[in-house]
Amino acid sequence: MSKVPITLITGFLGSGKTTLLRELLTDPALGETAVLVNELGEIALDHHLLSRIDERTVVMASGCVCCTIRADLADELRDLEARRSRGEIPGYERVAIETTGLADPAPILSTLLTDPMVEAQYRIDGLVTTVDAVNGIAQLHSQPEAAKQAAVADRLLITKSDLVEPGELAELSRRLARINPAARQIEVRHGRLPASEVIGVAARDDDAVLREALRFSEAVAAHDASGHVHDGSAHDHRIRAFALSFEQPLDWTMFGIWLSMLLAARGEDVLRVKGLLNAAGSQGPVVVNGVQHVIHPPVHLAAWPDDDHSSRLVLIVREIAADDVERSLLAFQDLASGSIGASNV
Amino acid sequence: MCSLCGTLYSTRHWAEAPGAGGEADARRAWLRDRLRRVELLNRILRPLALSVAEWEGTAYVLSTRTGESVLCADLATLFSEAERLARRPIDPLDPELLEGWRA
Repeated sequence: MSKVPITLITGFLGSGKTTLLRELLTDPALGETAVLVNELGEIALDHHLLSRIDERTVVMASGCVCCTIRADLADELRDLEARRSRGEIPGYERVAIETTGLADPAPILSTLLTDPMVEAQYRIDGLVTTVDAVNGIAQLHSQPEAAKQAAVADRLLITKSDLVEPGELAELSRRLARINPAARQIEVRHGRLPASEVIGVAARDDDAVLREALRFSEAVAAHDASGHVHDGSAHDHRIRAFALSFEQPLDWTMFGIWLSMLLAARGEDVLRVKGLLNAAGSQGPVVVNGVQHVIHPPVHLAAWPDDDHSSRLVLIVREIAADDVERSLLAFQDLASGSIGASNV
Repeated sequence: MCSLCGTLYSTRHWAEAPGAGGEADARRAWLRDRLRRVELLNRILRPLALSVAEWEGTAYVLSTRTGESVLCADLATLFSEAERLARRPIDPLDPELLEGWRA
């Protein structure tokens, strides 16, 4: 049985999540959808299943906030599947989860990826974040949760865009691109959006994984080169994206140690990692993808798409300088090759 | 999977998963990779007076020069234990750590 795709809808308070979800549910393209929401609100039930989740969280012994396991969510998803298999509820092709406006998406992703039963039955299709055009700039500036929700999104849905001047909209768009250059920005007018814009987001096969990794690194590199990220301003919780490129093949074992160490030390500030890496000894590239401490299992691809075999690593970080990351990664690689610290071996 | 909470789940830490290759080679490659990881960890942690040894293919033994040892199931546990034993935060972006390798 194939895994049920999950669409995660996040966005700050009042940014139009419920309106959007209600609208999406009327689109047949979404398919039979089970909906998990925090508050039972005005969502039209129709034929869709709807379940309320409480904000029950279990804090892991390590105390790491982003690895907090959302017990409520895991319970709800397991229960949904159990009821379906017993025939108590009709089948569904998709699950949509609407988080509360203040929710940190990382624990939700962590739960979906690490709970063995949930992981066996569901897959994350995409994380969409609604951003209110009227209040978005202020929220990104003053609310860490809002900036983080934008940083980890696959799609940024700008709502209420008909209520602001074009100049203001352009400024919001610029701010969002600074935080997350790779996410597609889509203007939503009157809550109307075809479901096709937010489903089928996650790459399902090797070709798509490769295309997505290339697109992601190119988008961030292009934004980096445009100079927008070097304006030195202290906007939006100092979240920024940067792309690094390395010509020499990387020692994969050392890269694994280095990234694990970075996430252990700075995981709260590493919002997103995406890499298309040339691992020495591997025929094709290795794709690494992660949100905070949560790293998807790396995908080893069969072949490079062209002659450019450089490693491309993209990070979306808070208060971390690109130069420091580059210097550190290269020093770890030098240590692996023996070009430094050789006398210590 | 989570690099910090990896030990609490049956799934293996992401950085310790074997690379591409046939099933027959997978175990051998995995062990070889694991031994190399131990060698690299020793280089990294040497300036902090810590050493690492492989333990039965299931854990790492992290030791201080005074003989204090602790078993670590995966990298995430190893780094948090290393911070405890070294009595200082261990940050790969810390220039002092990187400089320590050249000393």
